[in-house]
Amino acid sequence: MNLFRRKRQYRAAPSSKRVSAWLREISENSKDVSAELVETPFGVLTLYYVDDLINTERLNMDALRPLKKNPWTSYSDIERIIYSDTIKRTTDIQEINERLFTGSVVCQLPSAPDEVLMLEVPTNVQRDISIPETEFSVVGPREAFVEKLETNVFLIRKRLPIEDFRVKNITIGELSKTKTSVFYIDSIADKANVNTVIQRIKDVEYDEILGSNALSQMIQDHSFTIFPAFVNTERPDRAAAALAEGKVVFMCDGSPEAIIAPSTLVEFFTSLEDYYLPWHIASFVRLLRLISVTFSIIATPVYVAVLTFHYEMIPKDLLSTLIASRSNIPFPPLIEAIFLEFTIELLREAGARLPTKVGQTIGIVGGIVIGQASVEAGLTSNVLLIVVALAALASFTSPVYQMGNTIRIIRFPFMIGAALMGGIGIAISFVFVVTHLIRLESLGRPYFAPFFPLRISDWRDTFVRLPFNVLYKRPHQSRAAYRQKLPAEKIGKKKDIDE
Amino acid sequence: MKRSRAVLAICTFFFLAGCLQSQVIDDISLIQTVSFDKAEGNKLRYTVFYPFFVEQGKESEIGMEHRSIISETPEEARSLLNTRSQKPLRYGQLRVVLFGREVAEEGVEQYVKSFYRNPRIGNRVFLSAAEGSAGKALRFKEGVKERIGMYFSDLIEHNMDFENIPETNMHLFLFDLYSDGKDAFLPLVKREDNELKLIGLGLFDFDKMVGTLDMDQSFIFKLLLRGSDKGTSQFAIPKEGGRGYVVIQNIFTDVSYDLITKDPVPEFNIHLKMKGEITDHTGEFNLEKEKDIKKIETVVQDQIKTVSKNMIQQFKEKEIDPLGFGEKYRSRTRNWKQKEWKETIYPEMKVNVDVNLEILQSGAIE
Amino acid sequence: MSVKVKEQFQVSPVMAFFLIHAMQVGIGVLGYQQVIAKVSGYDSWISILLAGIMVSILISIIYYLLNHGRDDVIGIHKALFGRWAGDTLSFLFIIYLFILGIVVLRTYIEIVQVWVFEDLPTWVLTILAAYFLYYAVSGGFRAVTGLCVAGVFIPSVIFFILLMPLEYGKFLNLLPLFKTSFDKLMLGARESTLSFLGFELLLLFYPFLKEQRSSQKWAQIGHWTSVFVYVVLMIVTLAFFSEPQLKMTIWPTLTLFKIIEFPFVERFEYLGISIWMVIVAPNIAMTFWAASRGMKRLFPMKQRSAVIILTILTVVVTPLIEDRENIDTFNDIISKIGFWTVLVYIPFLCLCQFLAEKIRKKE
Repeated sequence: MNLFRRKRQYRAAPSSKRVSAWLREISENSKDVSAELVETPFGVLTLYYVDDLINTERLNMDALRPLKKNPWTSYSDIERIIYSDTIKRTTDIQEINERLFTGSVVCQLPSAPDEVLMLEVPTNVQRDISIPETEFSVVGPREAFVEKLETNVFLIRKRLPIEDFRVKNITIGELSKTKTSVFYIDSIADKANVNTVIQRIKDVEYDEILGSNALSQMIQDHSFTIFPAFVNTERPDRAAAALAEGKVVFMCDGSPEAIIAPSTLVEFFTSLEDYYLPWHIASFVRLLRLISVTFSIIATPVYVAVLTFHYEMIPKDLLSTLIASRSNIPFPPLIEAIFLEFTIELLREAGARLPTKVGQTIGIVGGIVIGQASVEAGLTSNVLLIVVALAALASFTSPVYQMGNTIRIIRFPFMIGAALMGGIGIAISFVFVVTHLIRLESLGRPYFAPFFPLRISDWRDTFVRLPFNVLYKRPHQSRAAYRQKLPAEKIGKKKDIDE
Repeated sequence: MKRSRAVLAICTFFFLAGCLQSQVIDDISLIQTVSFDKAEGNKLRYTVFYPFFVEQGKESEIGMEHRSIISETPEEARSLLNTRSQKPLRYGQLRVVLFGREVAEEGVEQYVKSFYRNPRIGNRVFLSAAEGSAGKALRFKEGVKERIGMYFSDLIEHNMDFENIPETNMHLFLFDLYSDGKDAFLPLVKREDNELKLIGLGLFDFDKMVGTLDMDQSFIFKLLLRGSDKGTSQFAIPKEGGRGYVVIQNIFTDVSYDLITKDPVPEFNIHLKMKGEITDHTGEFNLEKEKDIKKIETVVQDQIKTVSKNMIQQFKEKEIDPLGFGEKYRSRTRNWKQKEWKETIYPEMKVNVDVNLEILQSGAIE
Repeated sequence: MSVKVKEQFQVSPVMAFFLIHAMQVGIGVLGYQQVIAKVSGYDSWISILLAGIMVSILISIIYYLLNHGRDDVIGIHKALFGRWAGDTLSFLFIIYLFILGIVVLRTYIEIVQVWVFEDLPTWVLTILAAYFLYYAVSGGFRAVTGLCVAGVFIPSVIFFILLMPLEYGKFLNLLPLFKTSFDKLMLGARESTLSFLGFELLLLFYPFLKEQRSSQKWAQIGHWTSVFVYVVLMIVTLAFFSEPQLKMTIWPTLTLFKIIEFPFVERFEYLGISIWMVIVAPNIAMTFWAASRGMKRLFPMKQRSAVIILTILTVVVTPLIEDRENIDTFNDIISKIGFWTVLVYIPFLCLCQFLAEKIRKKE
């Protein structure tokens, strides 16, 4: 434990040194820091900058050209000539240190070498906005977040063009200096939620913040749980919808995912497509998802339990099929099931690591060839092959990728429970999982809502998705400051016949 | 702290592993049929029938094995038989229990009770009685041999669902057996020319078989018991110069018992409201004619009435009550005493049967 | 004197419904029919209704007591009988709760042993249960309440499945009504009261309800839902079994399960017993929560350490209760104590409270 408590010491920029000496030193130490002597008709000045971080073209256009045309003698002249609001004069080494490495040019005059001017001219390298990959939907917008925070803010802002939509910036991580933005709608979002998020992000002391998902793990309420605490999304429309429900959204610069807080278990099984499709279809799809998730968790354990202990439960017409398919297999059902589950996980992992085209081939080859071969070799029964394949398929239905992973893992304790104590073992695992879910919190709000605490009015958008005129209230979970989504006089109005 | 607790929990869980004896379905033999016969002394000969699956080789190749042993109780028999079988024998998939005639006549309560006590055995198990030896009735050489477990239970089941056998299983048998106002019955089977055949019902006085009904009586018995929408029977209709035959399929029958008076002796009116279809006939009738249909209706009504009356008379003589007059009487009286009912009231009781047959259809051709 | 519970740990008054209902419907549902039918025969369902009315009145009495005492039972004991006598009574009550939890646990294990695994040693499930109890109770009252909600919703499907045996039901059995004499009906009602035990935990969790006074409505609805479940199940049972058959069946509900058949699963009792764990788990967790809460209030100890002590005791004691007779004796004792507690002691306590208030007013 001591290891973590020891005071960390990174080399901070020495404040005792003189600016000129320090600048010279770092330009010698690090290859990518250039020191360039620029001669103009009115004098010489030295520019320090990190090559790859700045936009040279803009530097020439906006700064150097005016300086070559207009006469100047001092820093204040330069400030006047290069008219820009990001220009700043400073003598503080800390500040220079910070800004030099985030895309500023340091401009030093020989006449006053310990004072410098800094101008922000960052490069604009970024990926184009592309279609969502993990949260693809057939209908609805085809925009996904990118790695650049400013673009992401723009993507959300254009969906919420109101003053109420607030963005707070926090920089965290001593090494990574990650810029993190917290979004919320001031008049709707619960103040406590906003403050908790901001406070927790500020309290993060980890030095290297890898991105939104890593940050979300650092600020979640329970670090030992297998369930993801916050929904992460790569869809700006989902982020905007969450904001409109009164939730808080945050994201780091450099990761194309936004994190929605607080979240409930059910939200991991909803997709924004549910709202784009007609409500009957959406309800059907959502029920299908929930059923298939249950199936995915329960199916293999039930197979193991029934075949290991509860042969009495098998209907007589199924009995001979089951016995016949198992009669050649030398292993107990648990080994058989784990072998097959392991194969499927292997295929999935291999498929995910390989390029898309190859991944597909692996899936087909693995699924068909290995499956068939292991049945023919008498390693697994074909009934189990069907069960496991269906369970794997069903686990893909969760719209949030991380929940899919949880489902993948959580069936193993169920399976072991089934192998040890049959149906009772499954029930024990189930009771433990339910207790765990009841105890979980997301941002201090109950994770298992709307089942516990019981909020029946939120069930309109839980197992099913009712029509929009019924969904006139924001969910309890986000503790929205005002819950009405429709003007009050529009709610529950029905026209009379022929009126 | 938290971590060490989790490790401890996982360790215990694995420590618990292996404390339960697993019974993987392909490592056990599932008894599907049991038969009971008398043996020398006070003992019984148990025969168990169970399928075996050929390992290594063609899948789904099924065979049927049987073993028999002489002992006192079914559980003891199982443990004795285990000393002689390849895989441990289990009762969990038991489908049919067959009692030989002699056993059935001596009383079956203790055997059925021992099955009822065993939580491994379902309550939908079919019980039945055999004409003659039960073990022999099931020992076939070829043909159905492979599937005798399934075959036998399917035979009873479809006859119950679509034909003339009233609904029965272990639970219903025990219900009737222990009921103070009703007596039990079981389907009766017989082996004929290397075939297993349902021949009717065996009637029980408490747990002893005392009489039988044939298939045609069983048809009417089923109607009287609960009403039914199943069953077929053939009736003879007198005609000039001989007889014609019609086959009537029951479409829907409603039966109601009215206790019209209690003093001095109870009198029951049984209304049988029957809707039927003529599925076949020997050709003498013109089913287009209202008159012919009417005639068939009256004749069949009379026949059903006579059979019912004779049947009830037969029950009274044997002092059994499989139709449950006692239950109906009990539900209408406050000072019910079973002994009094059985000894004095039941033999004196009067029963009137009133049949109302309506023929609705007569097939797809004229 | 009275303790204030922080609002964040309180639950809404609706939860009184789930708490009462979940505590009343427990392991007893599997076998209450035989006990009652032995006394009042085919009119047993009337006995249950009578008991339901009785218990409903008792709940009102408890609410009177708690509303006026403005505290849980431990505080009320102290206020009425002084420190020593009051604390001794409270301690006895806590011991009762603890034994109640253990008896429920042991009975469930017994059912598993008889119906599913003959060779399951008692300590296996006990240790798992101890883990679970510690985990659930350390989540606090909210977690235990959540379990009660889950324990009502998830198994509610079973109730409808239990109507399926009516396929073989004979309602003729129930006629004529009221053929059992009134004194036998009352004796049956006494037996039935035992099925409704569990509501007395209200004495301890009352301060954890928001808007405590208005929660009585929900508590009563919860109780009457239990009565409904018990009566309907009793009628199904009476129609399904003939009287001598019922009298020899120890767990009629499980025997009802046995007849249920689906195309994909036969022998529903194996599924039923597993699902029943979801009903039993909140039951035991609640008694353990109440017992540990009581210990915290009585002794200078943390509730967490109280739970640890209780779970360790459970692991030691439960495997000692071995055969059927022992379990039966324990069940008998605990239900007798429970019966006298709720039927005699609670009204007595209420009377004391009433008199104490009168005296205080005069002064």
